[in-house]
Amino acid sequence: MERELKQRVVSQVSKIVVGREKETELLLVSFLARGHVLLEGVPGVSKTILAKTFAKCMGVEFKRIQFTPDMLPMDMLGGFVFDVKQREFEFRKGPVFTNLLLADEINRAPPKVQSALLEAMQESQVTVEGHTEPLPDPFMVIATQNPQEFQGVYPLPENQLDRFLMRIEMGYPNLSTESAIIKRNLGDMSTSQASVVLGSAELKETLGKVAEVKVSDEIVDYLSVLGLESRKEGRLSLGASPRALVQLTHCARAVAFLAGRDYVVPEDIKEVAVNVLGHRVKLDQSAVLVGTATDPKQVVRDILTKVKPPR
Amino acid sequence: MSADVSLTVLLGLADVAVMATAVVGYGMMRRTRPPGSLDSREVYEVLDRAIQKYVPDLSAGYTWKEAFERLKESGVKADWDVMKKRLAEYEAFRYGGREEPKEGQRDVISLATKLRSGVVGKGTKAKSGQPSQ
Repeated sequence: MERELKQRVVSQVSKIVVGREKETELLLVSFLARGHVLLEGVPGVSKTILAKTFAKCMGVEFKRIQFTPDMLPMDMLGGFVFDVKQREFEFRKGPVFTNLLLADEINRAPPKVQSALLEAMQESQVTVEGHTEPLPDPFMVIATQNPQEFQGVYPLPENQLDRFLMRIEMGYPNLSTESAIIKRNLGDMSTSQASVVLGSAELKETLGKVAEVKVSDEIVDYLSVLGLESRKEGRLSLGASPRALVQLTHCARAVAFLAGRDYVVPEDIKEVAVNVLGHRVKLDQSAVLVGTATDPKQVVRDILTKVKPPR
Repeated sequence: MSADVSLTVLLGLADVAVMATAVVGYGMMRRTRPPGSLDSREVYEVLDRAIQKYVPDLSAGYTWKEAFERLKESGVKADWDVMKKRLAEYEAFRYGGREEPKEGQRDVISLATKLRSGVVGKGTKAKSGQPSQ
């Protein structure tokens, strides 16, 4: 069942979104690891439709917020409104109260809104005027941003990027995929074409199983060494945080589960490490200037190549 | 008196012979110890060393799966489905807390031997990390 789950989700999403199998797999891993995802790509590369179709397949409630510079935290979180009949203020939930939230163009929102969302992501709850309301379970944010945009945006600082389990880069499709996308768009593009893969009971059971996947001491040591090496790495001014390593462990658990195992092997860590750590580490400016480092993901790859996993 | 001396000498020689036989036997047993009597970790350590010798440019951070892929690409002939199964059993023991695999260590040792000898294809001798065909 576990091995089939990935295949089932990918095949359903592929009915609507063409050529995004790898991205769908990574979304599934993040969802099972209870993490949030930052989808990065230029406009028109299927970011929104991918998130929407994925939510449909997982059988969870989906909402979308289009972030703008004039947005206020209450537009997203909700707020107190006066109920004339009851003659008292009552909390009206905002669009953040959903299972899967698409935070479109997150870097267009002012820092106040971004931090309000990030608190929700971290705590799975929302506090407005001292009133705390838990968010639905599961809760996942898929945020999007355009890396080419520099005007009127508020780039996410490092501590906020660290809240995202993964950053998935969505580039332009290749020639044959592009043709397939055009042909696909001539037909019905409604997400109703995709079927629900997991029922709510099955989803709960699946999330429980992922949380039980065993992580041996040797694997934990391997993760710690990876973290240490990232902090010692001369080309980086900021290495992987302990939170990053914890999240990498959760991700590896999800990868192991999808492979039909109830234990993590070093392969599982290597499979997702670049997506989990790549946006969290920061290149050292002097290394950039002398040209020894241009891409943080490459530095992560180099660390994975250097550190001996348990064998 | 002379009979006593010769008996003592004979007993002494017998002792020496028994001890020598035991030492030689133990040594031979060590040398011809079947792979099954090595524990799984030792068996995979042997394979690890053989892989590093055969593919010296393989990075330190390689995993078994990556190594097997590399060996397959290099034209090393082995029943890779069986090797995959053996590896899964070993990893289940190593990381999953399952029982140590009792069978199949011969397959791993056989691959290691093949890599050490350089005879990796159908009787052909390959250069390290190079396809044998």
